[in-house]
Amino acid sequence: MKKQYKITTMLLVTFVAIAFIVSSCSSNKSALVSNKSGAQLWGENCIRCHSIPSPSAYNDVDWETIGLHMQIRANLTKDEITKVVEFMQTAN
Amino acid sequence: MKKQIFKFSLASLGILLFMSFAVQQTGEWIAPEEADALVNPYKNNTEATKEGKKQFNQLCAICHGNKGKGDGIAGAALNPKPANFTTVKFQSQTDGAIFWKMTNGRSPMASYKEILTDDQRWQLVNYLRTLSKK
Amino acid sequence: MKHLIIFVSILSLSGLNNLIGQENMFSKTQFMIRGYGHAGFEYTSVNGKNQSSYVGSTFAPIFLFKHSDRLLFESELEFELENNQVNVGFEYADMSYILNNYMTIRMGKFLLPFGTFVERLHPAWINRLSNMPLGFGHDGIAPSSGIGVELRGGFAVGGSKLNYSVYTTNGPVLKDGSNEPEEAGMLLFENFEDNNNNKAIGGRIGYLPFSNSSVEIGFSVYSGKVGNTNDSLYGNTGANLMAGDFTFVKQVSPLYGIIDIKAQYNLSLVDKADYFELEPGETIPTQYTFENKSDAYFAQLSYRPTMAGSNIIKNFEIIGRYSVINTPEGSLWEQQASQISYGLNYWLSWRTVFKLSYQTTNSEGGHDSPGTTKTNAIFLHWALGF
Repeated sequence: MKKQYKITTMLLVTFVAIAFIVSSCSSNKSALVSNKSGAQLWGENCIRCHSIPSPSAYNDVDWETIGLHMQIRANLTKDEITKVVEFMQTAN
Repeated sequence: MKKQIFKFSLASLGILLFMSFAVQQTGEWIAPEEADALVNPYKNNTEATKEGKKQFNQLCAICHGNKGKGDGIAGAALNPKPANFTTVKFQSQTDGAIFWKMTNGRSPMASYKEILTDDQRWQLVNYLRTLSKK
Repeated sequence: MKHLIIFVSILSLSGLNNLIGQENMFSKTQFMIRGYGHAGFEYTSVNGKNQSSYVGSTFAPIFLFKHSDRLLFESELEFELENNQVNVGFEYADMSYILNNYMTIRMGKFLLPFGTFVERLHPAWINRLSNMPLGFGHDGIAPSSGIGVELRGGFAVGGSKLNYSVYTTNGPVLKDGSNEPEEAGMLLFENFEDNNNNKAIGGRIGYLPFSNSSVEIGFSVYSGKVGNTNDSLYGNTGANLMAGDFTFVKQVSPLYGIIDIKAQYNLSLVDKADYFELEPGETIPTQYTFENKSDAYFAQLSYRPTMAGSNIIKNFEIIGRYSVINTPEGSLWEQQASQISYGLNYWLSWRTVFKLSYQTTNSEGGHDSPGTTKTNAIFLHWALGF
């Protein structure tokens, strides 16, 4: 059992390390994620799991609730969900 | 067994086809006449067109498509469908009408009154003009 | 009936709440009922024996209570018709608090981020096919929910993104065969009051290498002891579950549409233990053991021609899915099964879909139906999210 925990931890650490190395190599792209518009983030993230929702499906207040729900469920970053909700509110 | 499967498949296809004709009709979007009187301060300004392209890629392409054909990834979900900027119908509008539409929006098209400045919206109009079929 | 009354009263309460909410547009408290439902027709042929039935209607309301920009309570119930009865599933109920931009704490009964299928893809309006891949759901080897505490979040790292989740729960329970001898060695994931003092730990790391979020690679673990406290035989038996998942979703212009690939591999390793079987006509049970290793995986590809000229063709989607499950050799629930599904969907809107699919399953063993089983099925489902 102890051995299994060890293997698990090692795998996790390796995974994180690889992720950081790969991403630091592409740091020149760093501006890309934070410069994205709400519209882009809406189109690129929602579709990872489900069809892209039409902004007109809900009102401003509802989008806030859905935003919080999806931020938690999909592990979206604060920056992403804030921009997406703002976009939905301008387009509904 | 095979016959039943065939019958069932046929019935299901029938239903699918029926549903496909139930596509919602959408009213045409026409800008008010006074919009036609608006004058584009950047007419024939190529620098402005370049700026417009940047805005387009960030804000518009996701629905209207990289080439403006109305086929962006997020457009599939929308009703009415995003406009195809390459059509004669779209390009026959005045600059003012196009400017007015992006300023005011019509759900699910966002209003860009607050997000973009007047100048930025005119620059976008310039870029949209380059998307027409040649 | 009792369930119905409870539900109707919840609904009417929520209606009141909404009315009150509308009077004050600036109310910080928000309440919504979201969720999904589906109904359909199914035709199955098991080893040549045919059966067909309308099936329906699953109703799965999700209740969202937003108390502030940081505090959310959510719960999902699932009403299903099965064996001429209404089944109510209590899928999850948990509260989440956003601690900061990178951390959210969650407590209660929550869907486990073990791979992506259960947490993100199982709702009928999201799942491209009418049923789950092998290895999930009833008698599956992948867990769906747990009771405990979780820390989760996501952040951008340069041009890519990382998301994580770590949790501790009551963990799975080992079926030792005392109730159902034919299920000895299986894991039961419903464990409302822990059967031991050991708490399971688990987590998932997801990595999105590209700034357009088109690819996600995830790795999950879930491990803990599964036997009852102080049980001399199984007290020390542990289980280690692992999953790897892959997602690719992108509009590919040369192909005129969206390519969507989803895959998940699940591995279940339970410590070797001795189990007992009472042979017919004997009074003393025989002892047996086996390597308790199971795995299951699925890979799914779907294509939707969103860049087609016609507004009707744009709404069609084709899907193919392959899935496999292998349960331990030597166990009484030994099974090797593989399944191929083909589907044709029509999207009426972003959250309403007609799903037509044809599926063949070849199974060897399994405690429900030993021997070789060949199942052909056709499903026509109508699913919608709300």
